[in-house]
Amino acid sequence: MRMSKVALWVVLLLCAVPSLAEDRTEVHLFQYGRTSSDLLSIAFVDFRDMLEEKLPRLSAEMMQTEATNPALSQLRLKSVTDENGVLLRPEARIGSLDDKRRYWRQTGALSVLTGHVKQQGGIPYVYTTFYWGDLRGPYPEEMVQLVLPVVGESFDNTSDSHSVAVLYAMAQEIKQDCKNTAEIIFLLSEAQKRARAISGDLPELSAELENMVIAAIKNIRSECSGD
Amino acid sequence: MNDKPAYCRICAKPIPAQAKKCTECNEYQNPIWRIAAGFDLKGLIALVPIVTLAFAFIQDRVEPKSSDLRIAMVSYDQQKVTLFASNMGNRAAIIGDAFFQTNEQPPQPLKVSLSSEDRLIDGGETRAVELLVNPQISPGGLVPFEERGTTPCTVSITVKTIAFDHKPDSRVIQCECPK
Repeated sequence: MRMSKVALWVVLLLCAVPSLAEDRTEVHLFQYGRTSSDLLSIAFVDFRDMLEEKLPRLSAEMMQTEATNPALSQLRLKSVTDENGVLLRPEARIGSLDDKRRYWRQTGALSVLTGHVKQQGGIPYVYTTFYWGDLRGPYPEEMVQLVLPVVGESFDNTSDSHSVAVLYAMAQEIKQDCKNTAEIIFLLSEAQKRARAISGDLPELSAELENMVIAAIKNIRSECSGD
Repeated sequence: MNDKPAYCRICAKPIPAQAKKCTECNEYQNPIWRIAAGFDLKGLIALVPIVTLAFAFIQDRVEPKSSDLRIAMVSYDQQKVTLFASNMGNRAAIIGDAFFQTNEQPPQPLKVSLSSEDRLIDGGETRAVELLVNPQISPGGLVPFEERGTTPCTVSITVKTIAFDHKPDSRVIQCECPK
């Protein structure tokens, strides 16, 4: 009788542990480089504001659909700042790739964003190195390069490369073996839709992201097909 | 008149049989009285500082010299630990390095926010000490992401100390992981 009670407590404890585990839902943003001129500096501030607005919007869009994982409702941007609220340059925390790996592993960030801003044809473009660590799925690299033009069309929507990468990383994060395959494929399909949407401005990046998402969908289908 | 003749114990002159004091040399016949009469007030007063110094000297030799640093944690969060260090001994002690260990993870250093002089805590003194997590080495704070949600989750704070006799020691405080 006593042993059975102990066994029951052990089972309850083991069941409780996974539910206590946190999900990676924060996108950590560092100060981007080449923002010394006023124009590029303002472009970066716009980009930061854009991301701050995009992530909750992406959460809301996903929660209105078939996706039900509560982690999706907690997507948010976290600006990595010093004690005075000034955005930190990457070298202050993640000077090397090893530092970046440690930072990602220990902080629980969904992804770590670094990059620079560049003006091309009068339009400021934000070039992001999107570090997703172990959430790369079948993608061969720990990080993916993204581009976002800071123009009016990039605001107030989630049809951009950064949203694609966030959805992809989120799909990898909430993947629970093959228990929620439908939800993961749905998220990846949403990412694919958004990757296609940027094919007009950034055809090469669009193709790369779409291929990445398609590979992830194929991968999960082959893993969970039961064959 | 059966009384035997008495003689002074000091000068040996004849004195009355029940005399307490010699009529010739003026000395008390009782040794205790004689000693007591030898002291005067000035002599006693002069003895006070000598006795005091002697007492302090003896006490210094007899009382053990030691520092006894005790540490109590006041508050803690992911980035900072605040504690009070009290030296209950009679000699100074030094606060050395500090580190933390979460569950079975390897120990990570904590920055002691005290200048070199302030690390020295005199006997009877108490000092507030802040230990800060190094964001470069421990970006996840006291509890790295992979340890969050584990049960039980404990953090050990170790503060190294150096006693008055240069003997190294350490104080360990264990607490639950901060939320």
